[in-house]
Amino acid sequence: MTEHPSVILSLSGERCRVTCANNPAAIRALAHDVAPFVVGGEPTLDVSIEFDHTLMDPPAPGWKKFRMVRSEDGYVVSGPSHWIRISPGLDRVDARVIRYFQVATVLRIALCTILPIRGQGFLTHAAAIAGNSGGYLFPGRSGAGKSTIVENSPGKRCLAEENAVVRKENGEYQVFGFPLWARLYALSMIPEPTPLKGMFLLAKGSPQINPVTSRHALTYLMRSVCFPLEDVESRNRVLDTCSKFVREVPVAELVFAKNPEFWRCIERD
Amino acid sequence: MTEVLQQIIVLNPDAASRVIDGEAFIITPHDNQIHNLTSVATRVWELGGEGLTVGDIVGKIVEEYDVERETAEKDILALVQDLVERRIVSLDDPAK
Repeated sequence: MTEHPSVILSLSGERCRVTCANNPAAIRALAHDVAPFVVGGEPTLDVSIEFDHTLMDPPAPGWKKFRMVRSEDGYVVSGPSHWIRISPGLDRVDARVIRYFQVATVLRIALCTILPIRGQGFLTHAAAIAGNSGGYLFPGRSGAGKSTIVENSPGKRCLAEENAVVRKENGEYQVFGFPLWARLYALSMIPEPTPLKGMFLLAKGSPQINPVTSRHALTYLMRSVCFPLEDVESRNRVLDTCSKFVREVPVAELVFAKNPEFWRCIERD
Repeated sequence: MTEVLQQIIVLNPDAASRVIDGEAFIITPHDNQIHNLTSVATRVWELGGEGLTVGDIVGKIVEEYDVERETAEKDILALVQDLVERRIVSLDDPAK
């Protein structure tokens, strides 16, 4: 049996073996680009990627967003320039892409689907910063202030600027940055988890911390969580995972301005 | 108005939902939005799931809460209209 070129990456606590039969250069590039995330051992997720130039690129007129469909064959996303199928057992991903950067799309879609369905966690639009005693999550949609939080956190380690993964392991919530995304090279990302100390909902103004209710936190978080499946059962699983999360992790509103003063509020809190 | 009172509420079967601490969180599929209902609105939505007419639901709410029928009817009609606009529920003719 021919051994295809592959690399095992530790992504948000998942050991993903990425294999590419028809493009060994892509595997070499991947191993180079995310070298700190390359690990050994047995994979927990097998990702087989094929480069297929017959897929349409650029998107067809009228194409707006990808949709993920659940069937007996698993979970399938069929976009204009990529095709991804996650097995029903959530342990194998088969994908076809046109371009190298879409390898990141495949891995991101796989994790943001698999983690909530397993009830292990979720991927969210969020900045994440490591403080002295743990990590803080700052979820929010575009324009919420995630980049401002990162830019005004001197001397602190940025775990994520745009996408973060929250995962529960042995009863503890951990936060990971997601590599292969956005400003990868500007961040000194690490594959190891950071214990999550709390979550802050972002608001702009004079720095202060305000209490929030669990329902407000859940509504806010659900607007930031990335989850492509649209069927009722899968979405209910995400609701369950996130509602549990906002009850188990300290959550507050952080009012911030474009300076690092908000960190005094966080450290005092 | 009378017409609406005689109609039944049908919950959107494609909307994901959970009731947490007595309040419903509903994700509508057409716009991917999450809606958080108050406890009374959640009760109306739950009663809608039992196949009751809007008029029956008004009667139940009057029984369960300290509220005048006229006030309950006015508030529930406004709520139902809002839920229909947000595609959380639809109205149907019970005779169908």
